[in-house]
Amino acid sequence: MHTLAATNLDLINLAKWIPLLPLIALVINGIVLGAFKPARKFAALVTILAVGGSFALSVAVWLGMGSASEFTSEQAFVIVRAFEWIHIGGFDGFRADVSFFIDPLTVIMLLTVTGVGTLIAIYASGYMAGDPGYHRFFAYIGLFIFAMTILVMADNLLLLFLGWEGVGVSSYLLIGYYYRKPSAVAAAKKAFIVNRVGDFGFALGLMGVFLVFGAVQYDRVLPEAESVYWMQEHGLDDGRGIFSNTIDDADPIFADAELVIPNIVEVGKREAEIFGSDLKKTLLIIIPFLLMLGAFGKSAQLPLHVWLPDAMEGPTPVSALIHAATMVTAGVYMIARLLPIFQLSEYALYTVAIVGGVTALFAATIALCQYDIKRVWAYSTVSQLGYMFLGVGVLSTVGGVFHLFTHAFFKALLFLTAGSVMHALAGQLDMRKMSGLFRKMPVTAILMLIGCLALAGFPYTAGYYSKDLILAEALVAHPWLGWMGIAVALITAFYTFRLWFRVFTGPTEYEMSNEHHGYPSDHAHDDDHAHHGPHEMPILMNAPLVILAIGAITLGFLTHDWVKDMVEHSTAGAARLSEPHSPAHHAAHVEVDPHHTDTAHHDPYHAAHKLVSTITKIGSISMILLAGYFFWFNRKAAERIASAFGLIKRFLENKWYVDELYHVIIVLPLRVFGWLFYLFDRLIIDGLVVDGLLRYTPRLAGEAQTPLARGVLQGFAVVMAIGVIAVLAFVMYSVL
Amino acid sequence: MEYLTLNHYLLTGAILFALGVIGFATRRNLIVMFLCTEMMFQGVAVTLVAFSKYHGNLDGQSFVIFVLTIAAAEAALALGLVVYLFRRKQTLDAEAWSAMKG
Repeated sequence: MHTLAATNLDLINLAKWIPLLPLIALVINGIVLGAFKPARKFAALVTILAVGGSFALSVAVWLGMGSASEFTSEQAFVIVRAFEWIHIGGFDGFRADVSFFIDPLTVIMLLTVTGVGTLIAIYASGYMAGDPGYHRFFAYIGLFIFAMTILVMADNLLLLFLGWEGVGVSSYLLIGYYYRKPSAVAAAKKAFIVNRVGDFGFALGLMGVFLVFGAVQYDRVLPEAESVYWMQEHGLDDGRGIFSNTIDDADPIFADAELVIPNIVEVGKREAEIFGSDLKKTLLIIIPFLLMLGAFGKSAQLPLHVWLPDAMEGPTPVSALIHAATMVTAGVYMIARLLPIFQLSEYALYTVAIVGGVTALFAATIALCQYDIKRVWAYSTVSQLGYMFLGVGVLSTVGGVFHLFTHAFFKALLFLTAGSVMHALAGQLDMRKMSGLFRKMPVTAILMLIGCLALAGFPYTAGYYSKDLILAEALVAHPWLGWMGIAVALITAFYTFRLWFRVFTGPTEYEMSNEHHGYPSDHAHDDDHAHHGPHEMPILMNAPLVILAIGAITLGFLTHDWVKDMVEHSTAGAARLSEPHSPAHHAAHVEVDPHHTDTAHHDPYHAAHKLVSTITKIGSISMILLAGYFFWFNRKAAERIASAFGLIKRFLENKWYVDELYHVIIVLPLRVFGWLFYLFDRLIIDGLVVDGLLRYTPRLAGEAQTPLARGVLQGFAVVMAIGVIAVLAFVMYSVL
Repeated sequence: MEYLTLNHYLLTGAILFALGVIGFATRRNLIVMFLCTEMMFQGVAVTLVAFSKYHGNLDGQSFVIFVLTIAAAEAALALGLVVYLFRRKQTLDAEAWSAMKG
């Protein structure tokens, strides 16, 4: 990539059109095609052109950036201004503009989102064909890509939050796309409500960032966080340095406001006293945990993972695009982007790593025992997201983002091929009711095999490289998490091929379902699928899959150095460079940091890397063979073993009973509480107050007064005047 | 009594207001009663302007502009109502309307 020309700002300025195109698609599909029925068949074309256009623009921005290292040494980042949004106070007041922060990390995310988005939109144009809500579906896809590009391009936390909520809304709309299906509606609500918990934390974290740093823009917050971190590390300061000046200087939020609104300064000073430097120090520790909560909600990590498997109620392209490839990685992106802030809190990144590692293991064990194809992939997504958090948490942002990038390809491929199977079997997803489909749909089988190999970390596929990078760094930073990650890699290989062998090998048997466009169909004979049985997908749907499959094989060795170069030279990488004592410190730093040329530092990393790649190479292949034995040649043995561990199997099949646990500790208490209020309302409010007190008191009071009302206008006026005088007298008396 | 002080204006306003109240309570002709309410308005307006001048800001005066505008609109409405009431009973006596007698 070093052959590219130097930074070209004209090309980078095109970035402001990237979110606009999908927004236009949303408007055309939602309003124009919504009103004009005959044109609705063009809905897919509109969205494909818009998202494809965004992808082309993203490529242009990438080319305009030139090589990442040169770009970073010259500009570090470019801010593309679209328009002013919120300005409060003077120059140092609250500012949040609609402007875009372009650095290598943003570009990787943009390429992933719009690239995979385009391919999935093309697939969906075939998958959704004939659906009565065709234009509605593609309008939502436009909304999603719009919000997601805003999310990754935002130059401040508030705009990020806007995109964050935007993808939440489009996720809600698309999960509940089949709105006449109660389970889909329930899943949509569940996703939205569980995300509220995380977003609550995120919103608090955002406010905390503003309180501490006096700004929400990255270009002000991130350098400041880095310098505070640097001072902490070098013992130059106890971390209060930038905050312990006099209030007027230290508090950039309110200092300049004096010129504008005098009253606010007084309030500000009072607040500055309350939020003195000690409290700011505390806030610095808490903020990463609040932001983390948001990331865990959006990316379905452990306490808040329950919504993602249910989100599979949406159409399959949606599961692939939103709930596997792009939206759910927003949490990883957010932590990578705000890494300097996370570093300021001693245990924040360690917590991220632990939650990621534990979630990876937890979800992988569940995926072992699920029978619904899409649910297996859903838990696998949760598990792989756990890997990404583990990577970011051990300061391997390169590993985390690289895995995000490769995962987008192979998991989208897996979901879409699962969609093809589901499409072919009229909605059948239960792998107990299908077998040996290879003969019926060989292309789909091979495509899914490629995806499975990448997910299982088969040597030299995309997933192998990115997973290794994370595991090696985890092994150095926190050995127990590293070993856990390696165990997860083995489980992953096993459950992935359990699915593939069950579905595509063995005797050809299948049971059609009776779904038609998401709803159980009463007259299956109208449906083509019911007649012909499993069949291959049309070329329009398979072409994008082929591209994804090529990516799933080649992206690992092709883009390994490129992703590393990009992420190392983004703000997420810079934070890492500023931490010279990191155990996971390796060769890339040598060029940048001449003080650490002694090779002793790098040995543990290289040793770990060798260890991990050996174990995962051998492990993934043997696990695939093991799965092949159990689910191709000897399914009876698999059943015998499963029934021997019946209790554990039931435990995993029921997803560790997390949903049941939440039902008991959250839903039931709320219901009981509600029931108590209902009783109070019925007996006390309705019974005693309304039917007793309120019914008779006014009536008696009214009847007592009737003689006073003589019906003369002047009489009323006099009484009113006396009333006013009485009130006035009372007020005057109490004031004086 | 060389200078007009705030108290003079307040007194004028209070007298206007009090006359309005007394007039409204004692007269029976609907139109005269209506005029009395207008008098109360003006009493308040005078007070507001006086305070506005006294405190040196324009809040009171701008408020009076609003009061006058509203009063004009309300006068048009009220006189229309009076005409209506007269048509119904051929009299302007307020005593004629006592349906609210308890």
